[in-house]
Amino acid sequence: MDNYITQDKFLWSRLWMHIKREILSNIKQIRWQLALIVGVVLISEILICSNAYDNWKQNDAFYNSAFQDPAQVPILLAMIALGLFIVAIAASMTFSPLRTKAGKINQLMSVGTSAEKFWTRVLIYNVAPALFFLTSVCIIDLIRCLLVDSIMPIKAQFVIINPFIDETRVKAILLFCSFTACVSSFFTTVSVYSPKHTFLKGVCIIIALQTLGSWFLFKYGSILRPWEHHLDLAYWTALGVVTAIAVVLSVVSYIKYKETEL
Amino acid sequence: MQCTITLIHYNNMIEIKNLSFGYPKGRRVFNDLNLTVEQGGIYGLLGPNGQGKSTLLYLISGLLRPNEGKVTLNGTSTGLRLPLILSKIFIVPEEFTLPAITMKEFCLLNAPFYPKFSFDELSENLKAFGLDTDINMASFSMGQKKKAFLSFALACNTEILLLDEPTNGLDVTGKADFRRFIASHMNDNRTIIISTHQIHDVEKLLDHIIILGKDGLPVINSPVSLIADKLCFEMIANGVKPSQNEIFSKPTFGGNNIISVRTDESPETEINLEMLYELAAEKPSEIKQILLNN
Amino acid sequence: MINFDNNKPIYLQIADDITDHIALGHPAPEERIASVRDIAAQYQVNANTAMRSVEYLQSKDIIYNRRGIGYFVAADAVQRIMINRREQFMNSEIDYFFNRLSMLGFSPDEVKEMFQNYINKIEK
Repeated sequence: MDNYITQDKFLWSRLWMHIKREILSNIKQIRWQLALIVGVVLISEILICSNAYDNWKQNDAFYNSAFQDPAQVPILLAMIALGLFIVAIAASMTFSPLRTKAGKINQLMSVGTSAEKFWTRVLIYNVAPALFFLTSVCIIDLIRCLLVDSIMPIKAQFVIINPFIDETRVKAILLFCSFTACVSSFFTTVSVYSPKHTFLKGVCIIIALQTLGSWFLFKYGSILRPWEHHLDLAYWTALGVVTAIAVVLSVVSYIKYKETEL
Repeated sequence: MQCTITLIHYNNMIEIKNLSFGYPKGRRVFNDLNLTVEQGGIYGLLGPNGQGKSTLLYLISGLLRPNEGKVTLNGTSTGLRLPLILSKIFIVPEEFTLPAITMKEFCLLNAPFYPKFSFDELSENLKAFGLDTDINMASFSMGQKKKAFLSFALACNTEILLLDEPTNGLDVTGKADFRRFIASHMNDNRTIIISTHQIHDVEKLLDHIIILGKDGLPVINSPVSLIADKLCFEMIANGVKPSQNEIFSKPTFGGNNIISVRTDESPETEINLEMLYELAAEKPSEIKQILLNN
Repeated sequence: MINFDNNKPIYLQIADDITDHIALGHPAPEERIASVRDIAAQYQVNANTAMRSVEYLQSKDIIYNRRGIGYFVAADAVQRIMINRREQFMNSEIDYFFNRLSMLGFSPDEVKEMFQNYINKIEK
């Protein structure tokens, strides 16, 4: 049992040890970050609600159960934007230890395979924030729905739309998830190449790419003609491309991480 | 049928072969360096700042990879950063950060990665340094951080322990604590390499001395016993005739510090490391010649 | 702060310090001395150096080894220390002393007189 932990292959138990160590060593900081996420979601909901529902007293004739909840769409849009923003910021911190010499030494000398160390950071700073955000939104919005149902004559509608109603929704959700993963792995890659000022640099690159992309489409927009009347194909192509980018960027960031030197 | 089995038992030996290395934006630090560090004992890696001492430690620990040549521990390249090798090497860098948790929590999280870690030794070490395990390390002074990290490092019982300027940031008491600490932790299974420019802080602890020259190649790479065998270090008072075998001399209070080649009549003396260091800097080829003539 | 003499091998200086203490009675004859590791820590030197000191003292029969237990002060340690000290003085320290005397121009008769005065003084 003594030498089990020093094996040269990927060990799940050791991965877990790394994750535990990473979280508990930075527990104070992590608590702050989680509180921040919850706080931001809460404030957004409150602001949107106070704006969306502010007319209900004056015009309660209009509001009955047949009408849609006026807060639902704004909240959905806000949460999408917030979600992407939070995922981007969290992913920018994935390899922040590589900013300093001391941090690099810590990372490189810790006992484990490169894959274990890579996945430790990725799980904590890419996957966990997204899941935590989603959970916070669900819980807070559920509370909103309960409150709204009891206080106002509106049938509140939950922000997370039921995906199984029709195919379009499923496709939209799939594309959105893929896009989020893409954003996440993009910022992670920027983080591994440039651990300092990652978010700023990432945003600059995005703006640059968007400008380039817009110019390209403007000049060579005709290239998209084949997809014009085949929206279905367009969708699947887009999904494929976005997913592929996410995967490729993940691989690129792993390879760069492995090659890191002091 | 006869079968010959050859066992290559490396004995936790660090081998550096034909090492060439230069930072991407800087000059070449090492050119075709060959060095072997054998198991057991305390090695002193001495030299002025900026000459590549830290770089050598980083190459040994795998933090840097050679441009050419190999750096291996037990035959495996350290640059591969395989877990088995990583668990056998511990480096205490000149600057490091400790997380904002207590010493106790830190050890519980980090000790499991080192199979030979000993909690008993850790308690002893912390007691020797007078550190409390229940205080958040964020409030530690620089000296306390060093002591805490050193306590942990030694309790890991790794086969190789690399210390980069360990006495930097320690006050007089701290340096004495450090010496006592290292002196009581020597054993045959562990190799400690101390890299420092503070010669006096460690000179009496060393078994083996490595002094790098300006070109990154070792001017001296010998056990202390060999050096004491070949050279005589004396203070010759003013007015006394110097020995004929004198090769180096520096004035001091009351006379001169001299180094001479030892003959059968010469007494055995204690190495004056500062003198040896200056000799290595001023007459590298001469000292190389003397120490290599076995 | 340990101030080591410049030239004399450390292991001998440590041996001297240990014999100083033995001469003063701690540890007393037949009592155990500190372990090699403790000696190394105490004087902040390499353990091999401490080992050499111990081996040196053993070679002079000032201490003896009991296998598995440690090193003990010999019964006649104090006498042996005196003998050893005289030997050391004759071999090294006396040269330095005589060098200073001759440099300062003292004659052998003057030296004898000074020593006699000193003996008279401490006998009072």
